[in-house]
Amino acid sequence: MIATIKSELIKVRHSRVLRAVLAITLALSLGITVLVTIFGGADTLAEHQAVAGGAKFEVMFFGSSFGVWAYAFFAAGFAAAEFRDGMIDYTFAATADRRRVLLAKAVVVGVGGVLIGLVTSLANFALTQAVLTVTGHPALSLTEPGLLRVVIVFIPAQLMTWSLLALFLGAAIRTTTPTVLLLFLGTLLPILLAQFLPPVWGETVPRWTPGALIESLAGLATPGSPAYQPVLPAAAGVLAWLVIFGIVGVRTYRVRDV
Amino acid sequence: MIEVRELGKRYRDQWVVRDLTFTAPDGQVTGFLGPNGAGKSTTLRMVLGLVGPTRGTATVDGSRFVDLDRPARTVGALLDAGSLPAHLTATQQLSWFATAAGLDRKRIPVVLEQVGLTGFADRRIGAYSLGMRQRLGLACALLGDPANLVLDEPVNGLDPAGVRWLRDLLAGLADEGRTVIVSSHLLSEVQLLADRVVVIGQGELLADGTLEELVARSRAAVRVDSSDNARLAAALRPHASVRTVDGRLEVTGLDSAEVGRIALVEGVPLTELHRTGGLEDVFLSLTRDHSLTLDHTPTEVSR
Repeated sequence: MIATIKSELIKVRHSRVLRAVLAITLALSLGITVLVTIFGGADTLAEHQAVAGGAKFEVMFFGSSFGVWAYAFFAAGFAAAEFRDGMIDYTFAATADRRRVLLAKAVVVGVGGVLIGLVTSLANFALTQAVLTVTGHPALSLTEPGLLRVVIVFIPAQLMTWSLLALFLGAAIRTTTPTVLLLFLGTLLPILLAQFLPPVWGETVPRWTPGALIESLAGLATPGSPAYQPVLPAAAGVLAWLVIFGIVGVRTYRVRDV
Repeated sequence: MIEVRELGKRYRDQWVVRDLTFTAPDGQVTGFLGPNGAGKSTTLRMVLGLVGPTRGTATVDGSRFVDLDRPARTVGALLDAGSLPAHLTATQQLSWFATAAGLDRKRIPVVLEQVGLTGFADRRIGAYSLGMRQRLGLACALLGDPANLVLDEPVNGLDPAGVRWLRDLLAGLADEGRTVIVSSHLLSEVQLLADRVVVIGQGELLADGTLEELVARSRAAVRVDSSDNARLAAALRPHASVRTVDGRLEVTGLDSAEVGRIALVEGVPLTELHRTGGLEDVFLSLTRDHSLTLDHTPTEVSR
């Protein structure tokens, strides 16, 4: 398994496309915060952080949310692109156990997502709060109740979860862009449709989408808000999404002809 | 040894490979021959676990490919050399493959030398000619020093010197006791490379044996044309069977020298005299009903 993980890392290192998408992920995650800070100014940051509840943290993670989808694109391409360029023949000639190949990719993508999430999350926090401190506005500290949990969990969990879902779906569909579109629309539609459907839909379905579950896990969704779930059901919900997509992805990857 | 037993592959309602059974023995180069769309690549991809059989089995040294822990040590594969990653160098590609397959990287310079790419090891694959890519694909196949080699159309893109080099290389590998299976749709290639041939058409086995056995199956004849075929035919008939094919005479039961002697005795000048029924005729005869170029229904469908 270690050798397979190493070989998948080599693919990332040597692929210009994958490296470019990773660079875009980082650029979006950090760059948008830099843009907001420079052009919006400290007053805007302070204004957004002055609200109550978890919404005050949102400005810090606005840019990272775009990075999440760029990283999902990376993950989908990591699974699917080999089928398009024919490299998969060599991958399976080297490793006959296809499950091992996909799980190695999952390890690379999942661990990468957590690491990139932690780095960008902490960097965004440091940048925004430093600007606020320097300009004399009230700044947040990691000792603030719940903030450490948000910083450590929200973006890393988003990156890890969405990238793994994209990886498994990409392994099943074998094309990158449709995979990301399907995932994006699949998570957006239940929320957008809520206004046209009976209230019971809006009160139950959207809160079980992966994004809402992670908001609850990170503490951004507070008790009483529509997306809120207690931690255990939220964790179980995220795990269930990963297991369902994992089973579909691994099974299709293993049995479908190249 | 590579064994294929009652192997079949169906896409929707079309059988691309049907009840195919043959063995590629150790120590020989087996040519896997058939016209375009005969099911050669699908068969080899089933041997390599890339395509799952609808029925039957394909084993390498007694095991299915998917059950091999380190497959590159048991079977080396050259599939589509065009799909080698253009952005990598040969060394990077082999290094990646060695890592993925759990192979010793020390063999990288050895196989590069073996395929004649030592001087091009650090050039990007995108700058390679098709022939060089084939050589690199072969280097990948040889990296695990496997006892079995599956090579799909390895001659594509090779110049005449390259074909000769490949012939010597494969013969050397077979002499070491390895199993080598080489697919091609060109008889001339297989004649150069193989000790024995398996011929398929529309996914079905048409012939399986040594080159000599295949030639022996043929109905040897002499094709002759002259200024007076009627007179010549009359002179030949007491000695042999004679029929007219495309305006010429096809004589069975006499060799070329005897036909020439009879024509001389009769005073009939010959304009053509040659033997038919060689390997090429056997191949064309076997595959006549299975060739895509002869106005038949295509056999391969995409999913």
